[in-house]
Formats: sequence, structure tokens, C-alpha cells
Amino acid sequence: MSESFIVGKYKLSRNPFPPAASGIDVERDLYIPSKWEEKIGEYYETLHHGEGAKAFPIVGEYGSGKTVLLKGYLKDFFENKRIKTIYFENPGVKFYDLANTLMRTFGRYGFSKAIWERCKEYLPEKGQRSLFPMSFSDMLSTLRTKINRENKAKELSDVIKNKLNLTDEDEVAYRLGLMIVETASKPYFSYRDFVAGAKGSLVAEREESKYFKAIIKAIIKTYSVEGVAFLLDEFEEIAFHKRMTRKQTYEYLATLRSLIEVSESEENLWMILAMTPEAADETKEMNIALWERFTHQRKETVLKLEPLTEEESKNLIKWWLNGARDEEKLKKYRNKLFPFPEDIERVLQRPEIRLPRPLVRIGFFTLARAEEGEIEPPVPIDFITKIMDELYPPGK
Amino acid sequence: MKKRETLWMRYVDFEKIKDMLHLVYENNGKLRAGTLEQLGIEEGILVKKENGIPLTHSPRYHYRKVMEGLDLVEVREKIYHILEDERVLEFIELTSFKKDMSPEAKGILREIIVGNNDCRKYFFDVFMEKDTYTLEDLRKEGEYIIVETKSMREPSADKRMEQKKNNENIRKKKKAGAVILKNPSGKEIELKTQDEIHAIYWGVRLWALELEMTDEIFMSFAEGRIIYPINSDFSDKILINHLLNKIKADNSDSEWVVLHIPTFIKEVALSTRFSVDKIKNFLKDLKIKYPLSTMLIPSSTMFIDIKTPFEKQDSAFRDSYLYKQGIGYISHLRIGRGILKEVKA
Repeated sequence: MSESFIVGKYKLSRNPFPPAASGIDVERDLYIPSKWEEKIGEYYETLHHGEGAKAFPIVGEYGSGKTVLLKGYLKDFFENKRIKTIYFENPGVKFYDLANTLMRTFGRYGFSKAIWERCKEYLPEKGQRSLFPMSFSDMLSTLRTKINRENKAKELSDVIKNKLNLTDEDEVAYRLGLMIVETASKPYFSYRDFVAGAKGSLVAEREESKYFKAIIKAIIKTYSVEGVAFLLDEFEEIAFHKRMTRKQTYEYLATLRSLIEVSESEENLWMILAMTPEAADETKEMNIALWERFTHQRKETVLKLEPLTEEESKNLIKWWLNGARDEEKLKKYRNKLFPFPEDIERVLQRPEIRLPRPLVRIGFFTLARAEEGEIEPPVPIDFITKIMDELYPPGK
Repeated sequence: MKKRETLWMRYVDFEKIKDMLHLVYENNGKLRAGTLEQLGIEEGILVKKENGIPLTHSPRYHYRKVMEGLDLVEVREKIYHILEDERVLEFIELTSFKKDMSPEAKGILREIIVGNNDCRKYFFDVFMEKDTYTLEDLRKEGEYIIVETKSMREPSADKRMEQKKNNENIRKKKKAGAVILKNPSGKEIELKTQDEIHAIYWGVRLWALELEMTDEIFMSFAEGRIIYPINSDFSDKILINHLLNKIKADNSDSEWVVLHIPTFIKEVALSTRFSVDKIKNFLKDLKIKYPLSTMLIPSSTMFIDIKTPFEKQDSAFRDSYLYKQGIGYISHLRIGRGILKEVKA
């Protein structure tokens, strides 16, 4: 069988660039410019040893690589340091919206079971000791009546507070105990569980920071990690289609402040927020003191994503091309720009093109159309320019 | 004659005022109020633009009163006459019935408005230190002013939420609040009554804005609306120098300097008093002139609209940003330091 045009001529098993170039499935070991890596390493060292919030924002416009950096680089970066990462996309403005997302990431059954496992060594044994230790599901099966569940919740909250030292607040300890025992009747989380003050709520009213601290401690203890890192993406969108009301503005700032407070406390909570320049400026404008705590004033821990250099742009293209060069016969073409011309920098002059998303889009459409038109490699500069100008008209 | 106790200024379309003036001129000394209004309706002047329905009594009345107040016409024994004034006659000569006003005609109209005692007393005086001034003086020497409204004097969202939390939120009866026009030097005009607010804030202020005598910037709700007299001697050299100085003043090690567009517009507007549109066009042209050193950064409207609790003010806030069809609102401009060499070259 004859080889396809893309394999035979372009030495690629397929078009490796994703067509949409936004919301791409982020793989590990993505191409990250070394200057970004250096900055992140520098901020980590500074904040890890210093006082204050273990937090910094990543500021970049749409398509500058914020999501890729969070999912494709920072996840590994922190996990290599035994820090558990939790990725939040479009977090809500209310503090407990974060708790909702966080707890759903673990799942009610799994999270409750993990805390119970830590509690059970301190729980009094009742009746005759059995040959096999009681499992979580066995324990839940004993909680058929409300009275049983309430008694157990009180027992657990006592252990959570006095033995595990997850919190010093009775209400917070009780809510966590309730979360465990109510798994018997409802093995999943629902939105109302995170509405403070609602009947059967699992969160403490007006004790957001303490509740969150307890959760962070619980994660650290139950998953045997040294810390937790929240990777918050697109903080500016906040999942609203309409404008924010005054109340929501307040809640947004209050959420940010609470997160910073938790991060500033003794808990090893890291918080990385990806936001657009406008979101960063506006947050700063709304509460300068909060922004300074977040960016550590003179240390200016703000990772600003700027257009890539020509060399970095070429490296990004090579990284994507490598993805379609795993076959033995194609391996010798790895780390080459081919079928793009070696002087591709001639079309990479405009800075708005040298952002990851435009580069990937241009890569996809150039290869797709060149393959369709059976253009001989290297693909001519004029051909790429035409596609680029169509996708990103000059002057805009 | 009974002295009028309310102000006569109201928001009007000056193209209609000009056409009404032509009706008086064509029928000088022949028309009473009712017949003038009737003629205005028949000629399609005192009608709603969108559907041709005649304006109601109040706006018709205000069109007549604005002509009288600006001394374009006079009423003798209830009959309308053209005022025998050199500028009024020149204005009529420079304009045509149902044709848009020329820039020269608009110039005369601006002078008439700035020369009007009521307009000066309640609006233009606050921009000026001296009492005697012309339109030219206003443009050259006028200071900017800030508009303070009632809602700005209310506690902030943060404070209100705190109060609510502490159950200290005692409901108080809302009062109609004054609008205060404040000059940073301390001079101010307080518009206390609804009549004054309608006449000045929604009247003369908008005349000045639409006739390009003043321009406005609305950066944040807490700061308030800024109004400044427009300097008509525009020079893009001044703007490019301002921009280059901003780049030079940035001491980061990055190749790029990021400017927040509304902040840049505000700084430039207050120091040069060039119109917002001229500054925006300058920024748009930068992308065309220096495509390799400039980059426009779009923003979602979420963080633009957050600047005010009032939805009706959203468009005023969005006006501080560049808008590009197909892209949306541009909040920042990224400029490469290479532009310093490009401009010199």
C-alpha cells in the first residue's frame, strides 16, 4: 500500500496540531519556554522559604498559554515536590463554590472514607473485636437511623478536633463528621451541601477560612502529601454570563482574600491564579492591599506571559511536529521544522502571532491545506503567510 | 411679567433647534407658540426620529424655551422674532433647513452656548478660574472637573456587606441627592434640585459633550465621571512623546511594556486635554504604523462592567476601551521597546 501524502512527503504520521487550539487536551512535558520555568522556580524558592501567601498570579491574554502552563507544567512541578494539585476551571465567586469543586474532585465516598480511615484508630471499639477490621461500608451500614448518624458524627468530630487536630472549631469538626456519616444516606455531593446555613449543609457558616484550613489539613494527612496547590484557571470568567453585581464583586474579593489568608497561615497551600491583564488590573484597583499580599509587593511575583521569541516559536512548532514522529522511520525527522521552511521566522514577525494558540492554529491549517493541495515541502513562506493573514488579519 | 423660577436648559437636538430657527426666520414676527409648534410638527422637526410621532407637549415647550434662553429668538407680545444679533444671523446664513450643520456653524453655536449667562453660571464657570472668558479661553485654560453623585456618597459594597453581616444595616429613607461638579482647585457647583439636574447634568453637560466642547472619562465608579474642556490643537507628536516616556520610565527587564488603555487615555487626556476619540485613533494607528512593536490585548467585558454597580453605566465605562469589530474590547496595549528606535528612524 502506498504511503499517504503526509507520511511520504511531510514525514508526519498525521497532522499533529489540534484544530481548535483552545481547550486542547493538555499532555505532560509540553513545550514551555525556559524563561517561564526559571521564573516559576524562582517564585517557588522565594515563597517556599519566606512568609506570606504561597501564591502568585499568571497574567496573560487569551491564547498566551495560561491553561497549558497550569495543566501541562505546574501540575507536574508541584506533584514532583509531593504537593497535590487541584485544578479549578472557572471557579465561582463564592468561597464555598471552590469547596464544592474541590470535594467533588475527590468524590464524597472517597474523601469521607479517607478521613474515616485516619479517625478510626482513635474511635472506641464497641462490642466484640472481630477477626477482620470493619470496613468503611460496614461502618456506614450501621448508621441506618438518624440518631445513630448524629451520635457517630459527634464521635468523629471529637476525633477530628482533638486527635487529628484538623481544626480547633467545633462547628467545622462537626460538619466534617456529618459529611462522613451522611455518606450512608447520600454517597454524592450536591450544591446545597455547600450552601452555608442551608439545612443539612456540610460547610460551616461564616467560618470559611477555618473550614478550608481543615480540608487542606485533611488532604495532606489522608493523601500523605506535603501540601496542596490550587491551580485556578480563568479566574476572570467566574462562570457568569451576566455582569457581576456589587454583592458578587464583594464575594469575588472575599474569596480571593480568604484563599490568601489560608495560604498565609501555617498550611502548605499554594495558589496559582491564571488571569487576563484586565482581570489583574481590576483586582488590583479594587483592593490594592490584597493584590500586594498576593504578589508580595516588591518581590513582584507576577508571571507575565509575553509573546514567544522567534526561537521559542520554532521550538513550540517542533514540539508539536514531534508528536507525529514516534514511528521508527520518522524518528530521524524529530526536532526538525520540516515540512515548514527553516526560515519560518520570516512569517513570525508580528508579536500577536508568536503566542502559543495562534502558532498552533496556523500550524494546523497550514498542514491541512498544504496536504489537501499536495504542496511540495518545504511549504512556501507565501503559502503560510496567506493562511496566517486569513486567520489573523494584519492591523488587528 | 412673572419671573421664571425653573431653568430653561434641557437636552435637545441642535439640528432640530437650527431647523426651528429657520422656521422662525422664514416667518419672522408671524408665529405664536402654538403655531410655531404646529409648523414644527408639519415640517417633521418636532417629531420622534424613530416613528415620526409628534413630540409631546413638554419637549415641544423645551425646544421653544432653549431657543429663547440661548437668545436665538425673542418673543414680543407672544410672537416669535429672530433676534437681531450678528452671530445669530451669521448662524442662520451658514446653515440650511434640514441639512446638517457645518463645522463653522457649530463653532458659532458653541460660542453662543459658552457666552450664555445661565450656561456659564451653572456649568462652564466651574472649569474656569476667572469670571470673564471666551470659548477659546475655556479650551486653553479650562481645568477638568469631577462629577460626584449621590450613590458615590453611599457606603461601598464592602462596607455594606460588613454592615449586613453585623446586623447594623438600618434602613433609611432614600433622598434625592445632589450632583456636585467639583474642580480640583476647590471650586464647585452643586445641582440640588431635580430641575437643576435635568437642566445641567442632563442638559448643558450633554450639549457640551455632543458639540465637542468637552469630553468625558469614566474610569471607576468610586472616582466618578471626569469632564474636561477639549483642546482642539491636536498633535500626535505630543502623544508619541508621552508614549515613549512611558516606555522609558518602565524599568522592568522585559522587552515589552504593557499599558492599560483607559489609564493611558486618562493620563493623556488630563495633561493634553485632547479628545478621547483622538487619543483612541492614535492608539489604533500605532498598530498600523508599528505592527511589529505593538499588540492589542482584548478583554472580556466582565471586568469592564465590574467597575460600576449600575448596568446603565456599562457603556460609559466601555467607552474608555478601544473597540475592534470581530475582536471586542481592547484593554491593554503591549509595546516592544524596539519602537523607541523605530520612531527615531
